[in-house]
Amino acid sequence: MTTSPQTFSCANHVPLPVKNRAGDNFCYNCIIESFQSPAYNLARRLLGDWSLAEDAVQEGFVSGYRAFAQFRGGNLKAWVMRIVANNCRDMLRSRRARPTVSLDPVNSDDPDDPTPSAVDIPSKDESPEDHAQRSELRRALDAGLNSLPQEQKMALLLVDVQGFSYEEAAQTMSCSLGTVKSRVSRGRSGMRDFLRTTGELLPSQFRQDR
Amino acid sequence: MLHLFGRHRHLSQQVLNEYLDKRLPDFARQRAERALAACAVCNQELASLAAVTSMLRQALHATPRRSFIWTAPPPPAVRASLFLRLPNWSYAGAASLAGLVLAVMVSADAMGILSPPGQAAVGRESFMATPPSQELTVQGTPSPAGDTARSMKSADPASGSAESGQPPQPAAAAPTAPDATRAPFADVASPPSGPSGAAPPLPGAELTAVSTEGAAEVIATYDAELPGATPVFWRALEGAVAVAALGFLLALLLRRRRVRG
Ligand SMILES: [Zn+2]
Ligand SMILES: [Zn+2]
Repeated sequence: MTTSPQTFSCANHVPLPVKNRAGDNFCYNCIIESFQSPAYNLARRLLGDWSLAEDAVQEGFVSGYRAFAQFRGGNLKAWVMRIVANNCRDMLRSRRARPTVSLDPVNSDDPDDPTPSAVDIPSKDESPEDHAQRSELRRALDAGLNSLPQEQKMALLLVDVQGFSYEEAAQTMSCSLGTVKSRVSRGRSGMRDFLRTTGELLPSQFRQDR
Repeated sequence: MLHLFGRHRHLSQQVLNEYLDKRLPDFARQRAERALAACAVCNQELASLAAVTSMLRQALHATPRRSFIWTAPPPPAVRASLFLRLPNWSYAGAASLAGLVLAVMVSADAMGILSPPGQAAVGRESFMATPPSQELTVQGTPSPAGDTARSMKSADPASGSAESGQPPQPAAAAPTAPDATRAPFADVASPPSGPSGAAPPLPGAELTAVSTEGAAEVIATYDAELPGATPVFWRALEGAVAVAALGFLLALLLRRRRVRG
């Protein structure tokens, strides 16, 4: 009756069996393995700080582990991401209360930031010009996302960046499908307008002289 | 071109986005396709939104510096005290109960019922008796002294200041008149429950005797047991109840912030 942890492919980690409210068995390390990267990326963009993002994800996994028995089943990814996103929201609130900590935009030039190397890896054969353009674009995107209201930014991060369905995004943000649609719509329009005003390096679609 | 199809209203941003995400129902999708085929403005809007979307899709994902996988499960959480583990409704219930008690106390206080014991207050208290009686019973245990105190009180309005010897007597006696008008109400609210101990001669006193015996007894008991009870005592009690209500509300708010499955 109990699914043994071997059901999961626990190749690289210690099996950590957990059971949700519906009685389904999972390996919590497998859950971590599946969602740590999207969770980290979401947190990093929400918080604008990679080391805070690591804390948010780590704490999120811990509280998820402790609350796992209350998980009723359903979309596990949305459940995990909701916990992490709530963590980030709480951290942002407490950080706002402490103005000594700077609110840098996502892509600081912090040499310790692991992001640039990770981001720049994909195409090894790209020219220096392409490379420069790519990082400019990345900067513009992050600035555009940061210019949006928090919920619209979150909706775009989930739906466009992470590829969530509207339904998953609604579960993650604890809101209705209609709310997700309107946040996505307003977020994209906001991004487009932002990129239009700052758009030297933008694809031709953004030039209004077209 | 456009004018051949009659008046054209540009597609809304939301429709364009839903079209882009293939979330439009068939009829709306076909309508959007017709508009897009005919209108360059709508087309360009769609293209710009599509470009934003594709840029966001290409946004690169960073790899965390370290894996979050555990070698051992985290230590169990420090369990919250029992006070924080009770179900949410118990906090809401306790908070509203405390609020209700507070409201009753404050309004009773405002009506002067809680002013120094004596005289007319008795008549008014029996009018108000039903709600506060519960909390009042907690204050003191019934005692045989109650009967005597009550009869003494019933007699008070009749016999005047000579007997009680308290300075505020004349002023406090004034409200007796309204009490008489309330007599029917008091009777409806609490029908005569039994014979009264003393048989006072005046109507005002009779009203007291006829109204809720239990309540009168409680007040009498209260007077007898806590002779030092003053407005200060009531203010302190009100403060304590208010603090309790706020405490329960605060506990409820704190709990709401926690992650729930
Ligand atoms: Zn596993
Ligand atoms: Zn149009």
